[in-house]
Amino acid sequence: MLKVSDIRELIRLLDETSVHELTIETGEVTVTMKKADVTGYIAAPVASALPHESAPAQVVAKAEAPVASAPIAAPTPAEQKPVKEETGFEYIKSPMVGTFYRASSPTVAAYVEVGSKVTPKSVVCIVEAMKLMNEIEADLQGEIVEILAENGHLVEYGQPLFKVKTT
Amino acid sequence: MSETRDKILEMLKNADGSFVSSREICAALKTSRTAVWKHIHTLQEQGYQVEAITNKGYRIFMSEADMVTSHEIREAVGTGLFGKRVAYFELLDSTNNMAKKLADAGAEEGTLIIANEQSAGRGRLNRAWISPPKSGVLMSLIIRPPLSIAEAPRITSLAAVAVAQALMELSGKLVQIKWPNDILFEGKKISGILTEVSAEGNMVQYAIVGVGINTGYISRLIPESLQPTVVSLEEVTGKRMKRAQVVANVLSNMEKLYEGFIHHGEFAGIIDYIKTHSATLGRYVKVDVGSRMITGFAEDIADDGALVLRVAGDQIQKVYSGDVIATPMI
Repeated sequence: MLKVSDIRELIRLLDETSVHELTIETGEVTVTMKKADVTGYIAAPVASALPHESAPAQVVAKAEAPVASAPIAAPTPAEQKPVKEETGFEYIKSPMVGTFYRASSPTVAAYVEVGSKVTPKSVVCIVEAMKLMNEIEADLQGEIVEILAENGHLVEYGQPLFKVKTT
Repeated sequence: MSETRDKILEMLKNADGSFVSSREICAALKTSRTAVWKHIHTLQEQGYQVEAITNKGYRIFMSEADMVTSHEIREAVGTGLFGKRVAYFELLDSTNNMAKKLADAGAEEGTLIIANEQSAGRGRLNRAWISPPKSGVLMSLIIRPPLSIAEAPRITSLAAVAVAQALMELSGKLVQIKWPNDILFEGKKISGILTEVSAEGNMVQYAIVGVGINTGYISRLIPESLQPTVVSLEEVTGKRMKRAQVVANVLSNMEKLYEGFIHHGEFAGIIDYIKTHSATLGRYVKVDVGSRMITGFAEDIADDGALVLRVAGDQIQKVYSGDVIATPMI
């Protein structure tokens, strides 16, 4: 009998190959996997494992259900290397986990550059999570000395985003 | 909308298709004939079908009208806080932009900004949201939740559930939530949500919940390449629905969920709803997080609304941002 983890592994393997269709028979269960030849978003139903007629929907149901008993792994590693904070400077930090954007859209200028003067009310960047765009204010007065995160990259809670010489 | 114009509209509607004389209106509202004529003219420009006949007066045809003026919204919304104040615009660049301006100027919680047409509706990263006139609901709600910035992304989950519930009530059909902010009918997008937050220190000062819902026959109005991905309420139900009613259903659901969340901390029900109406869970997906692609099995929605992926090596990874792409399978 195939386990859910086996099916998941098969899906993963199939996805990494150029094989288009795969059928596996193990005694009572037959599993067929087929790749769609469409790119982009597909609105197809979930069932990636089709049970043989003699085996009622058992496999499908299991494959769809969240696997609660699986071990919980370590937290996501941050993309950026930790920044060493120097004395004499202040840091504007990310208030949330999300994606860091330096401008409100790819076609407009960044909110701030190195050398920009900021006041506590200046918007310095956007951090986006769950499609919620969060305008981050400097909350301090000074000059941007360094930009520590990269546009479009993930940032962690509390990660320094800008190095600021306060005035 | 001016108060006088609102009252004229009220009088015409109450007359239920019969004529109301100009003299009657002037007497009731203590205004001049010229002023009344100007207001009628504005109503016509807004799309109300008002007929003017010399010696008889004015009459209105309401059955075909699909208006989203302040008057129509307030009438449909009733007594709730959300939508109690409505700012209606014929044409805006985007309702979210206007909402931000009004919120910065102190507009109170529950203020709704709505447009008949948008010239630059947008989604995330300023991607365009195509919004021809009368083809959809284009609205932004101002809220002022007492939340920290870290908690703010929950607003997206809440709004997605409110819109999904409203669309199910209106259509009687099953819709699904594509994590985190799109509403799909049979895999096609019927609604999208874009939330923007302005913070003060570590707290949310205000949030703008922008909602676009396709109501009319959208497929004819959009580029061919997008047609297989988009659907509207009218196409789903075969019925034309009044946009004011759609707005009212969304707002009442949103207000209920919002009150439960803000005043009683009820959020688990929202997550449960997302899990049971998810277009994302149970799939093998790729998430474009900008700098890289995360692939994994979409296994669960976390208590805070994050997408839980099982990635290579049987590791669990929580995703807070990025575009989900269902991988081509089956």
